[in-house]
Amino acid sequence: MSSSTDSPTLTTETTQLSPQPDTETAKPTKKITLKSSDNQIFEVEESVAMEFATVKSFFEDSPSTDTVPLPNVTAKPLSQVIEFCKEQIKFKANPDEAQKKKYNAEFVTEKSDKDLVDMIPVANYLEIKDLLDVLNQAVADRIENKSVEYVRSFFGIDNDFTAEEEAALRREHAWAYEGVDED
Amino acid sequence: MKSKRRRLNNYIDDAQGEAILPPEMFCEVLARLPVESILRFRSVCKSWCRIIQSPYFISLQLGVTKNRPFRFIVQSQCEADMSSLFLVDIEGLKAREIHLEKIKCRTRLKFKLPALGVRVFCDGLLCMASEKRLDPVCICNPITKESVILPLSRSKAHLVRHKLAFGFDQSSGKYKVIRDYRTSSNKHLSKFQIITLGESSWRQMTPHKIYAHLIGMLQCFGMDLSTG
Repeated sequence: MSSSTDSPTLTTETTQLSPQPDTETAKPTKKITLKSSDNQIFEVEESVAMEFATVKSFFEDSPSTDTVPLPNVTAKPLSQVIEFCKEQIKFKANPDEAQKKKYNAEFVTEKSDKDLVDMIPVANYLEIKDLLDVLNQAVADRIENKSVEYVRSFFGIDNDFTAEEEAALRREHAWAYEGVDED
Repeated sequence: MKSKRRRLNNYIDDAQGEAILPPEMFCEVLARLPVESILRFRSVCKSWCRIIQSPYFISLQLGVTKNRPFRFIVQSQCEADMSSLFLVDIEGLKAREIHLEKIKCRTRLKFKLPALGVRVFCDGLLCMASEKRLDPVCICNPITKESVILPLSRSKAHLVRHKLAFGFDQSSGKYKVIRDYRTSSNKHLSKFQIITLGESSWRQMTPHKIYAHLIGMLQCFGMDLSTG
């Protein structure tokens, strides 16, 4: 007898437990303000900001701050990095490797060469490992079969070799210069 | 962490806010490229050339390529054509020929490199030796075309067996070669020697000690100790 009265109480308890995650997401999440070097303000959810290891440690050191200045980061790459991290949070909540791969691939495909290169120091400074992996691989894929001249203009690098030095390097591994894509 | 941040600050200040990648960031991109791209991009500029030859980059690149074993090194077994190796890319269905004659060596060679067979390899380095003689054993990097001859044992013995194992010892961070050989005067007795790259001579070993060494070596192929 006693067991039959116990069991309904147990079921009501479990039904009460299940909606808890909803109430948690419903409560207003804390926002964190990031300020770029060109004085633009970004309000992001705390969970997104905590993806940035640099911001996270900044808060651990000085919890009372409300605005995190990012003197090394300009607004455009920062907004793109925030966009990426927002998506990654969703994948953390609902892991779906295939969707995540698809998103990461699309994220880099639609970016210009400059956007990708500009995001690397930002991801590096904010210490976002997943994004760094994605960016480094994307840049590597874009330059893999390209000529030396193409790569210089891709990164905006000046050639500081003399003609003789460069010719000597080319002679040493002539085969590595064969079969590159047209610029 | 702090020093890294300071470095980043510096480079941004230097470039007046222009996003120019500092060298350590190039490393992460370059390490993901196939070997011919890495060699080609040495001529992008002096700092790239320096980075690519740095020990930091080399270990980084090895770490990345270890996860993608897509290249094979093949040497023809035909006596007339041992002078070439082929770097074979199975996925891309490409093969490149590497001429062994062009490999540089710091010591003067009294023998021809192509006359040695590639016995074992590890991390893209080849361990080359003769089947009939103890000397010489040569470690070479067919891509950079550099090589070293391991210390000679000065033995004229004719061998009936010469098996080598070549691997990277994680605990010491160095490459080691172990060999198992039998001479024609004593066909049934295996002898063992070990050398760490950088040491001045081979050390004789008992099979018991060799097993202990093998445990520490991650990649060690090509030697069958059970028949010893």
